[in-house]
Order: sequence, then C-alpha cells, then structure tokens
Amino acid sequence: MQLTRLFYFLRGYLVITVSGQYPERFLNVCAGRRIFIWNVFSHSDRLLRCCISIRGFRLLPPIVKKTGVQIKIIEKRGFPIWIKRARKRKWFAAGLLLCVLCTICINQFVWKIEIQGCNSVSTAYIKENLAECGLKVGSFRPFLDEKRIQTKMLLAVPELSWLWVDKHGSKVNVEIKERVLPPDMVDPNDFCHLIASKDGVIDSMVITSGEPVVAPGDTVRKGDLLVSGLLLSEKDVEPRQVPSEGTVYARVWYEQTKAYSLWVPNTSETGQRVKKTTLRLFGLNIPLYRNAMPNFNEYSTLTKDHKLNLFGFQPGIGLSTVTYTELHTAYEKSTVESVVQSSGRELLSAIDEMASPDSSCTESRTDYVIIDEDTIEVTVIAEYLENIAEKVRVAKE
Amino acid sequence: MKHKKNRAQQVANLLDLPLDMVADVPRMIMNDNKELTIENYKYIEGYEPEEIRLRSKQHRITVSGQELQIVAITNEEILIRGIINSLSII
Repeated sequence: MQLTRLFYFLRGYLVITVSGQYPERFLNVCAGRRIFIWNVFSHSDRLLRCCISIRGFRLLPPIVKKTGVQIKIIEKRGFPIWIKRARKRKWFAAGLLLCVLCTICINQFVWKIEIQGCNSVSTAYIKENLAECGLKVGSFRPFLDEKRIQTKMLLAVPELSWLWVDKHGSKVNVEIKERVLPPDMVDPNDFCHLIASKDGVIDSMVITSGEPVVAPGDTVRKGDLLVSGLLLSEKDVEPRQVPSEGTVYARVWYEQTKAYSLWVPNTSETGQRVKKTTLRLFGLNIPLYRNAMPNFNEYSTLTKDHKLNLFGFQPGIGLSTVTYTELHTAYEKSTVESVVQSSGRELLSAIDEMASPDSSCTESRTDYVIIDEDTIEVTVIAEYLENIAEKVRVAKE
Repeated sequence: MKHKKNRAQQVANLLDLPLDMVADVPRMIMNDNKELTIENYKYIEGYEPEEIRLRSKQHRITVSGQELQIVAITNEEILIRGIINSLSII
C-alpha cells in the first residue's frame, strides 16, 4: 500500500473533509467503485478527513449526490502540485537552472587521472608525459582527443607498448602495458672473458661458453680471470676465440664498522597539536589558516586529503588537513646488548644495499668493542653468496 | 439444537484446507495492538476515533481502541492503525 501511496504522491493528491449524516457510506461507495482512499481520520462524529487522488476526486460528484455528504478540499499535495508552485517562483527556478548549468560545466573538466598497469615505469613519469601530451587535471574534456594522446604517448615514452585512454565523466582512466625489452644479443664472433668483480671464494660455477680457469673452493681477488674465452686445443689447431658465458657463485664477505653512543634518543608526543586546513578548489590551494608555522622546536606532520565524491563524480573540490604534533626528545642510557642488537640490524641492512640484488646472505656475525663508558664500536661481518662473474670484451687478434 | 455446517466449511475440513481459501470469510491479521488488516469485509457500519464497526458476510466486527485511523481502504481490504483494545466478532 506504501507503493500505491507513493504512486499517488507522484501523480498528485488532495486532502478533503467529508461531512454529512453518514460519511461512512461515502467510504463504502468509494471502495465499491474502486476509488482509493487513504489516511482516513474521524475528527468528530459526522466529519472525516481523508486523502484522495486527483483522478478519484473527479469521479466523486455522483457519489456525493448519492450519499448526501459535503466535500471540501483542505490541501493539495504531491509532486505535480509542487512543480506548479515552483514554476511561479522564478528566482528559485533560475537558481536551480544555474546549479544544473554549473554541474554540467564542472563536469566538462578532467578532475582525476587514474593510471593502471605501472610496474617498472613510475606513475609520476607517465603523468608528466600525459601533461605534455595535453592530458592533465583541469583539461577541458571535449578538447581531449584520445587517439592523438595515445599516439603521442607511445612515441614519447619508449617503455610503453600499448596505452588506452578512457573518459568517465570528470575522471580519465589510463591503462598502460609496458614494453618487455628483448635480451641483449650475443654476437658469436665476440671475444670476451669473465673476470671476478669482487674478492671471494668460489662456491659453484655454471659455464655455458668458454674455458674455466678457476674451480670451486678457489680464492679469487677482484679482477682475476675466471673463465677464458680463448679455447686452446691439444692438437695442432689454431686457438678459438669465443664469448664466455656463465655464472660463477662465490662466497663474498662484507664488513661494516661504526661507533655508536649508548645514549639513545627517546621521542615522545607532548600532546600539543595544531591543525591547518587548506581548501583545494579546482587545482587552487586556498589556506584556511593564518600563515604562521606552529611554535614547536620538534614536530611531526601528518597530511590527510579529503576529496568530495558525489556518487562517483569528483568535482575537484577537497580539503587537505596537515596536523603538526609537537615532539620531545629525551636521551636515555641504554644497555650495550640492546645497542648492539639495534645497530647490528642497521649495519646489516646497509650491507644488504651494497651487495648485488640477486645475492643472498648466508651468515652474519656482530662484534663490538667498548671504546669508553658512553661509546661502543660495532662491527658486522656478513657472508653473501653472489654471482661475481663480469664480462670483459677483448679485442680479437 | 440442530447444528448446520456451511458447505464450504465442510469442504475445507474434508480436504484439510485453510477456511479462507474455500470460503468467503473475513481474514484478520493483527500486528501487536497497533495495526489490524481485515480482508473480505463487506462495508463500514460506523467510524469513530474510539470504535470502528464493520460488517462481513456473516458477522459484525467491532474494533475498539483509541485514535483509530483507517490508513487505507479498498473494496476488499481495510487497514486500521491506532491503539486497539478489543476486537469483537458477533
């Protein structure tokens, strides 16, 4: 019945009073003639107030005559009545029209660019190139030519093999596929040796081309010849010059030493906070604060962006809040063990950056020497298993 | 007293069917003491805020309470809301 009433609201309805000797008879006759009546209130003994559709009201005169009641319209309600009233309010209509026009106008600009498919190429790099090709936040949407942007981008960015630009209202989706670069071609007429790029002890070797000079277990220095490209024959045949290929895994040791103080800083929040809000309006940043920085010696910042989202449509309006939190640093004397543990981790991660990416740490050791009552010297020695073979081209004789 | 059974009632009993499926009897659904739906009524005899009197084919139904309101009315169904104190079927 709620649905029926919603239907009548959309079609418009009247609130009427029915007075007479037998208003119940009026209800019975209306029900019998399938005229829908709802929200019937009995105000007094002989007076009813009820709602009726406009079409139903037009069918009432014979019923009124038959039942001998008097009918009075109290109120007109519903969507058509509201529209009729709104038509008379010119400024309201003008405001509504202006609002619709503004919405359409704002929708004609690009307010968000979403890039998908970035693996090795950075999103910022793609955005920068897209801006050069004419697609950036604030671009006028009807002037965007997707095909032209695609062509220009593919020519400008050699790392891309495919690009698709899709406009979705004020949002533009850019989907990319990165180019898989072909492996380096090996010239069969090339002549090269493999030499050691680091000091170490050979662990294992896989040689696909060339003559190994060292064997697993040998100690090599940086620059030592590992695999020779010169193939000598026992028979009286001229030696062959080939490009050496292969991997030589060796145990390599790294060492890092650093002095550390036993006084460790302990930073805590004082509870003092200052919030600064900036209104982002179509690419413009309007500060909603006085231009003074917080009077804190030490602080941390936290930035939060809130973008207005209307049913998936982003009109380019948002708020950016930066929270400055005051910090206080107090120095506390820590135990030697805890400093050794934390500095050991720090030095090990520094060593990890020095080692080649495909290497793996097999063993590590942390030592320390107490220099004075406040300082210790920590040394980390780590053993890595890594490929030390480095190709060196040699001119053919 | 001679007990006369309605034929529809006899069929309902025989086939183990609900009575409202075979006979034109009023069907009432009451939600707490706030809402009452009556189907298969005939007409309204009287309507006052404290009492609504309805007529079905065989009975006189009286709904008593406070602030009684007929929320919707069609030729087959009537929905009453308010504080219902008693419902009598005579």
